[in-house]
Amino acid sequence: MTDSANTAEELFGQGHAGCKGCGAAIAGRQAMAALGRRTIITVPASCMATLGGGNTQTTWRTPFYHTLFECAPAVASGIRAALDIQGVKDVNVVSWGGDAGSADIGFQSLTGAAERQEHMIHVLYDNEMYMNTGGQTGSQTPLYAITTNGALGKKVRKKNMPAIMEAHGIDYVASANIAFPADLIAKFQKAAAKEGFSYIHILAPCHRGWGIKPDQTVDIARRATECGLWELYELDQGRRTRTYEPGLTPVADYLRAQGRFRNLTDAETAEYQAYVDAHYGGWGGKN
Amino acid sequence: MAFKSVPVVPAGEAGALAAVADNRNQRLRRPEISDQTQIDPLTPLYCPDGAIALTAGRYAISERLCKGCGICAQESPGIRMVPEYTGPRGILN
Repeated sequence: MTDSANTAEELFGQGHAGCKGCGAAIAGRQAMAALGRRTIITVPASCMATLGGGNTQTTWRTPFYHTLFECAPAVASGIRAALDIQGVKDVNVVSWGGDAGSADIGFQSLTGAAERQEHMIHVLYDNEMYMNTGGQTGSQTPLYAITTNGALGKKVRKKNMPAIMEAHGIDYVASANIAFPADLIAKFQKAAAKEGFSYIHILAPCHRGWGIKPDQTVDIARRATECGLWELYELDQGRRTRTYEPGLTPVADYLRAQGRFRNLTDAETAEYQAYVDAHYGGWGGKN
Repeated sequence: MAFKSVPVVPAGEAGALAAVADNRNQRLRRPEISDQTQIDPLTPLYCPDGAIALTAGRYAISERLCKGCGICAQESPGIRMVPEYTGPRGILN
């Protein structure tokens, strides 16, 4: 090992304050590889805000604004308005929320910004529970997953955020996965070229919440797509395209590798498999 | 005061954590490159810590930035995890 890491070109991630094997950090690094230095980020309360650092030290090499929980897309809207007043056209404005800051607590400002067709990108990095506060259940937690406040597992399905965002009639909606970086980077490049609102939903596993080892973060994300639970697709001006054709491996291979599904019965596993068999190729985020 | 005259002062040095981070005494394992030809080119993008760099055709891992998660070793057969510390443990050993 050496101490010669390339610190000049990394826009996010080096020295971050998160856990080892953090899926959110991987998502951030891959996205910033596409977005580049001319980018302003707003982040609500989330692991991603913590990762960014505290006090006067940050891992970000671009402007980074830690907003209140409810308002990252609203702050991003204001930043875009200020850039427009100044005639600055070559800056990407990105609000980057977790599943709570996007789908639940932060949803009102997200839906508002999408309705206004703001010139910005919103990213939902999805670890499927509220990990920054200890791993509680949220609307993006999948069916039957055990959380710290749901010892018996979640009783309802995950809210379909890509479908909700598509219903706003926005320019671009895409799902992405940290295990497929080329696909993720291509989607960010496409979103950055849009003049309207783009929404990218990234699967970013959290080993602590999911009950896996830190070195399994990327592998478990890959399994989610390969089994059909996390379809990779995009909706560009309403045109739907699947961007990766998976092998459709058994869903059980994905579920049983995680501690959060340790109580899953054979019947519940079969229910998952039947759902994928019936619905794969419809909307994303169906688990 | 005109809008453009409002001073903008950075709250902190950009990327300052990259310069001060040192994870060497916080990990149990560290990656070791055993075969440069068996490293998946995507592996640097899988590293959460930006610790893997490709310079002049050779991969190098920063011992300061690496937290020892082991994702790189999972994704590339040319990287293996080795114990950070192999000496005696505790005051009785």
